[in-house]
Amino acid sequence: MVELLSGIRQVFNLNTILWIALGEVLGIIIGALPGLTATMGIALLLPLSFQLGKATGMGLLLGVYCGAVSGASIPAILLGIPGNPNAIATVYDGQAMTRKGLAGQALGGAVVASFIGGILSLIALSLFSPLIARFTLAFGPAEKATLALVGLTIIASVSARNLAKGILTGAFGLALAFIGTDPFTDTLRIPFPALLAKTPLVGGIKLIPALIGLFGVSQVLYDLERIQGGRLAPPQLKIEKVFPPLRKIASMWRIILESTGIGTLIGAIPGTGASIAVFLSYERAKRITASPRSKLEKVGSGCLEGVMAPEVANNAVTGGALIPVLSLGIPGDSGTAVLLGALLIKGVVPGYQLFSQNLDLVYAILFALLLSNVFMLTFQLLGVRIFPKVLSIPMALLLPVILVLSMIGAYAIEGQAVLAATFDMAVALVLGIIGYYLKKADYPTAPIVLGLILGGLLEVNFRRAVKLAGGNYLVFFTKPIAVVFIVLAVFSVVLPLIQRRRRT
Amino acid sequence: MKFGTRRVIPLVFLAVSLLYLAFSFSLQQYRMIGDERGWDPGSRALPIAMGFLMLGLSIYLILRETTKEKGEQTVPPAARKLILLTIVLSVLYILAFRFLGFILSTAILLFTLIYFNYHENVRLKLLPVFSGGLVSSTAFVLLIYTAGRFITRSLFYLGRARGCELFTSKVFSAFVVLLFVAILFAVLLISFRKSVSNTKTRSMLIAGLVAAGVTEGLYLVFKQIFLVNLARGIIFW
Repeated sequence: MVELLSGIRQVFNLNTILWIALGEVLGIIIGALPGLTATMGIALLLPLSFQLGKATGMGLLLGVYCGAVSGASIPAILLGIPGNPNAIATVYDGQAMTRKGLAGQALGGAVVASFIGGILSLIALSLFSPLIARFTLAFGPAEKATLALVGLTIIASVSARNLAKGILTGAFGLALAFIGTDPFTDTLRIPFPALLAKTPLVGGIKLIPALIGLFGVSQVLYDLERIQGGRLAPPQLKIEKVFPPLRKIASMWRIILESTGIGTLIGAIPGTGASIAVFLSYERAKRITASPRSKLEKVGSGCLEGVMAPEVANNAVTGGALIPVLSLGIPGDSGTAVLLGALLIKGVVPGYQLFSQNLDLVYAILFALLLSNVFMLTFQLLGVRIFPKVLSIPMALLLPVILVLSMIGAYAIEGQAVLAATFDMAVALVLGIIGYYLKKADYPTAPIVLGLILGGLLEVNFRRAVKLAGGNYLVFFTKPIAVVFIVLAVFSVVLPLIQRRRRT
Repeated sequence: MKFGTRRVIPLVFLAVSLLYLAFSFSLQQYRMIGDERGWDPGSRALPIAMGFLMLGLSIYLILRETTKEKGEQTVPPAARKLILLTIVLSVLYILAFRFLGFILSTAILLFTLIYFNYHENVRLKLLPVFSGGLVSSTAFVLLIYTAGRFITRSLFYLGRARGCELFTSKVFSAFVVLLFVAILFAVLLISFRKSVSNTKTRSMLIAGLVAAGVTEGLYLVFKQIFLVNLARGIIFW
């Protein structure tokens, strides 16, 4: 009870409420701008959150996360271009509704759907994450090491069309994580130690500059390729009747519940993300409405059902993706990977320890997510005529501003030590350039981040497990939970190979 | 056959993995304290393993990319120039950051990138107008920065002299400066809106205003509110 009250107090104060509101507005704007992703938004605001308290900082990032996921529906509906992959499936019926002159209802429906999905998945998050976290009590070094391996293999196999590319970038992330100092002996583990021993490289490649580089700088370079004709013209539409009729929403109860289930479940599987969930829920809604007994409009014909199904699902992913973050320390998607990074940087270790020692922070995160969803509903409904105007901001202006924000964001982490801070800017730039070329060659960058996040966990627990087992490397096959994780890791690698072979 | 990014990346990874392996093998093997029996796999075990994993996968991808995958999206030459300009200026920005300081280096970087992005290309014939714009924009940024510092200091002294705590607050003075900048920009935009119809002048004006606004905004948020030590460089006041 004390923790619950403390959690409420940490969120429901003017300072935190204002930061969450700011995050929400920025998130909606970022989500609405095609090419800018939720992950990039969170990565850019990470340094700012670093300057705030734990709950306030997490609230700001959760606001950006929710806002960006929901804001992506604005260009999807008005222009037929999804703001980010979360709104891919919203395009079909959203654009069709706009062509029918029902843009207002489509935008309003998308917002209400995002709110319902967000709140229902928040309930799932509050119910399931403590249970899963309790399960981690049984984890020793062998289980933790194999859990890190599962997180890496799943994200490597899901995020890349080519498995080898996913694993290669994951291995590259791990290789970067091992640079710096040895975790047990503090001895240097850097190239040319005589030359570089007094440089900031001794501290290793820091997570925030890497995140900013891979998701911020690389995106700027990638979007520069499309700068010609980079100003989108929002159509001059009359936006009326924004709030969908309650009776209509109630009649869609089955679509809403199934989409929530799909979104939460897919979100909770590490490495998956919203783009899979939105297509699955859209297809499911199509089947439901195609049934002869269904009184709903047929999905695909430009109706509210086709907008709400993927929008419920993509915001349900936000709560679902936080389940493995809080309970296991394994992110559900690249956005939550950055949120996990924010938690780790604040010294918060996810898992049972978080729920037993920092329960007030867990409550604060849940309340911040609740408030983010409430703000998302309020701001999007109030600003339904204003937010589409951000589409007219030219990319020529936006990209340099994002670049500078990325640089200064990377700098601010070591804000008092100018040399180390300048080094972090260089890390962000170098990883940004690497990320850009990788993206162009169809290599995923999310596994690099996961490698950087999980590298320490993997190494410390791998070595500890082997040492405790008297140098026996087969120790991982003697623990039932570790065996389950190894099977999962193998399964995540083999399954895409089998699927590809079937396709060919 | 075109030697595109898809084929270069595995080669780069091959070089990286070989260098990483050389680095890993050059490390001394340290074991945990109290591990007399040598059961700990040691400090270089996983780096070596990652080096070999990267090596194997990059060889596999080199063979695969040459035989199966082909073709990639080509970048328009104008966009390629803009990307190159962005990378080169970012490198120079990092190198000059401590010497020139945050205000000057950020203003120059922003103005240059916005100006050329606005024209969607880097052309030599834009240089004369650009140079004039850069000088005026930098002067404008310095003017705003100086005015901001003056307002902040005046509020601080006033607050101390009159015993008004609000005026000494860094957040309050940041808001006052932001308000001043917003009013100044609104006045400038209204007065230039009708008089400037020329594209070159308009792009310069927009680049200058955005560069100044963003630079001052970042300064207020990071330096004034969150006390990040943004390098002053040659701007000593």
